[in-house]
Amino acid sequence: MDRDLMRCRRSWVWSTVVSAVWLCVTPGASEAGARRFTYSYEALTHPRGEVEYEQWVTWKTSKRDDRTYDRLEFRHELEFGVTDDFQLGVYVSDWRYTDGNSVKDDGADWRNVAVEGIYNLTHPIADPLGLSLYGEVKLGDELFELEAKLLLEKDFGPWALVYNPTIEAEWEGDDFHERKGKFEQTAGISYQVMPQLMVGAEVLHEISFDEWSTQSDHAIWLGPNVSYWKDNWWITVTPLFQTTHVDGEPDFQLRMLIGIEF
Amino acid sequence: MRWVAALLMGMATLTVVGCMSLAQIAPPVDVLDRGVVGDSGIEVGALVRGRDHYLRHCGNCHALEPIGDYSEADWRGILPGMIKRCRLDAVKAEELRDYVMVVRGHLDRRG
Repeated sequence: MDRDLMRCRRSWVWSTVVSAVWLCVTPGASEAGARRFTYSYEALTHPRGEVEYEQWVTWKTSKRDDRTYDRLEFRHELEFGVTDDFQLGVYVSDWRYTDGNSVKDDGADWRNVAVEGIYNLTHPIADPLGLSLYGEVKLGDELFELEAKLLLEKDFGPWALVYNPTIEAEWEGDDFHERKGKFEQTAGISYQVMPQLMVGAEVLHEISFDEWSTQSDHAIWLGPNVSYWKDNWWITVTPLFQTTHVDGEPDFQLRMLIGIEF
Repeated sequence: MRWVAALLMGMATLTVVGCMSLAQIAPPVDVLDRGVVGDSGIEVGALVRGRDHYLRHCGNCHALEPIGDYSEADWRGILPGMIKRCRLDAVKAEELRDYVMVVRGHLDRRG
């Protein structure tokens, strides 16, 4: 536990230092366009040369079988526009803090680093449907994960609609012997109230497969979202409420993303 | 899965409606007044590319604005900042500017 906490602290300090140095040395801030959703991705990528820092915080609380359950997940991510169609993201560090009666080891633990790539194929305004391909590789002490998504988006005036089907393969444990698959779908709708303020709703649907065979219950969360941007920063928040009654899943989760563009 | 089908149907509907309204927001080059296009001295291919840049870059951070909502003077004030923000290179920026100004001229001539 102490070792985990130390590692977590080291990781936090390291990622904060990297972020701070990056903020200091990167010249000339550009202006931002906010991410409209937190659980869903939009199809567009950053233009070539653009760099963005994203701070993720996700709070999950109150499982049906443990009302004392709380988990805070943190991600520190840097995104780079490599070309106008290809974006690379580096999760400098993912870590979390968990508490609750059902939790064996309360406290903080570092999870993983990761790399994600998004390649944009079609544009959500200029083409009939915006489409991007998403791939991600995560690596932790006892975790290896591959994830693939389709990012579908259609923009119509002030409205944006997105849909992301996702498939994940996960290997966990001492020698990565625990295998798990996950199918996830997210969808969202967002309306631009004014150029800097967007409101909408998101839905998240998850099914997991232990050892790629035992299927879990379907879990669905639904909730509103709001997004605001100004100059070179933006913030997006989505509270989600579980609409199903799955015991092992949180009844409520909230995700907040803050982005700073350079 | 029913909500996924509903969402995809919604996207398809919006795509059809969206294509119709795009012609009003940023008119295709082939519907522009030929006199205005000819007088501009800009080749049609460059204007077509300019419209494509408009559609691909000018609605990425906010909803795409109809060109007719702003005067020529307004656009001369708006475009430099937006072009910088989209990180367009000089050629694309020129084509985008030319397209917007020709559309503005087309709209002015039609009254």
